[in-house]
Amino acid sequence: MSGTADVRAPAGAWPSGRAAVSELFHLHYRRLVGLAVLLVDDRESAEDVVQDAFEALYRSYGRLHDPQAAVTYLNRCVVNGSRSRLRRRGTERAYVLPEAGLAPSAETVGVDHGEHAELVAAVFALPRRQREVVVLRYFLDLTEEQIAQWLGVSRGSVKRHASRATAALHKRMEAWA
Amino acid sequence: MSRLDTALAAALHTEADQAGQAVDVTRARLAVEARLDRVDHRRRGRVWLVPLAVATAAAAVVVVVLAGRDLHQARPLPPTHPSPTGQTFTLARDPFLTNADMHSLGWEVVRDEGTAPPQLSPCVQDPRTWGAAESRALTYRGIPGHSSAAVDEFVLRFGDATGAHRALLAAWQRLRSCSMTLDDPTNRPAPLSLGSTTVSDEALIAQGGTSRPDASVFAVRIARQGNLVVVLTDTDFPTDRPAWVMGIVLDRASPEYRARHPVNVCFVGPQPCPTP
Repeated sequence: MSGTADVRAPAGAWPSGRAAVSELFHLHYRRLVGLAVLLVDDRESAEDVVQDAFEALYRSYGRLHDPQAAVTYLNRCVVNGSRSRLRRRGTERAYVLPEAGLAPSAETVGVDHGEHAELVAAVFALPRRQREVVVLRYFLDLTEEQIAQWLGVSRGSVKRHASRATAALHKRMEAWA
Repeated sequence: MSRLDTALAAALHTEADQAGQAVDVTRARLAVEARLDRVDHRRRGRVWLVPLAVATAAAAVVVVVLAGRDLHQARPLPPTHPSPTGQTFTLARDPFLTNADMHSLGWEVVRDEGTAPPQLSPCVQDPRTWGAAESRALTYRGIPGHSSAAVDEFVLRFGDATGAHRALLAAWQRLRSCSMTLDDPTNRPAPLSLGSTTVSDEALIAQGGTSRPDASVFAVRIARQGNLVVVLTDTDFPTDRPAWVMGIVLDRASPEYRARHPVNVCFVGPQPCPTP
């Protein structure tokens, strides 16, 4: 499963609403929950957001013209739903990052599970907008242009958030090393 | 691609994979099917509502015709809502929130003097058509590089408090019966309600997330004080203190209101809030 590699629309002819939504559920539910978890932290909220997205897709299905549009619609609904969820919480989740001394050593900072966990924790600790930019860029493989469009900000703003995020993450990695 | 890029992509995919694998798909499928059933049920309901609506409209026409003789007699206000107060206010020379106000609220928008407010929503008619004696409107645009949010503010002065009250009630009825205000009514943080607040005689707040790809949040806030009605809509700024925000809007709208209900805007401003 990945952000975009498995982004497939139902094969064959454009099926009717309910059948198409069922097929899209089969193909994308797990991936979308993964995307939502990256944005909202907890799986319960993530599943709610994804189920909202499928319901919204079903309601709007008649207005979509091709299968790929449905997949994009789902992705955007999940991103927007996650952002709304976070805003309503009122505060961003504060993650306590591990102390540098407790982090994995430089030798283990390769591709092992420890680094993944540390990196994910560091991403979760970023300010909300930076985190959104990182997830959209590295999980959904969106371009700066697309991210700007999805988040409703300028391209310059996306560049700025991405730059600050990568600087912060670099700093974390150096601290581990 | 740098090492950090590669590591980030791998870490995020691993995390998402693990979250996805932990899902109980059978339970999720049942939950989604139930949601789709509810959508179907509502659609079927709407089909049956069409002839009912036609019959109701016909009956309403008959009632209106029969009641025509009494057209000049004022209708009583709904008893469940507070009677309008007798206060009357004038509009300030500049009755709108300032850029500094927006900054203090944390809203990254600035005045866009040259632009007329757009069509708000199928559920919210342009407030300038609500029958006020004086209607003013201003649009705010997102600060380039920070936000693409849009905010519209309307300030209406009616001849008396009763006219303002009726306008607010009419807006409430439209919002209540219109499912398009927010894509998903269950997504509202609070039920749509009309009530009184400490800063206004009546306030009507509808805000929450939407499932629309073009806007994650949409809010309509309407408040009345005496003969004044203020409306604030936006696409990106939900707040858990909407009545307080509307108090600020009223404060800027009328010098008399400001004299009676001064509102401090300082919670995110550069200056600390003064101690009461």
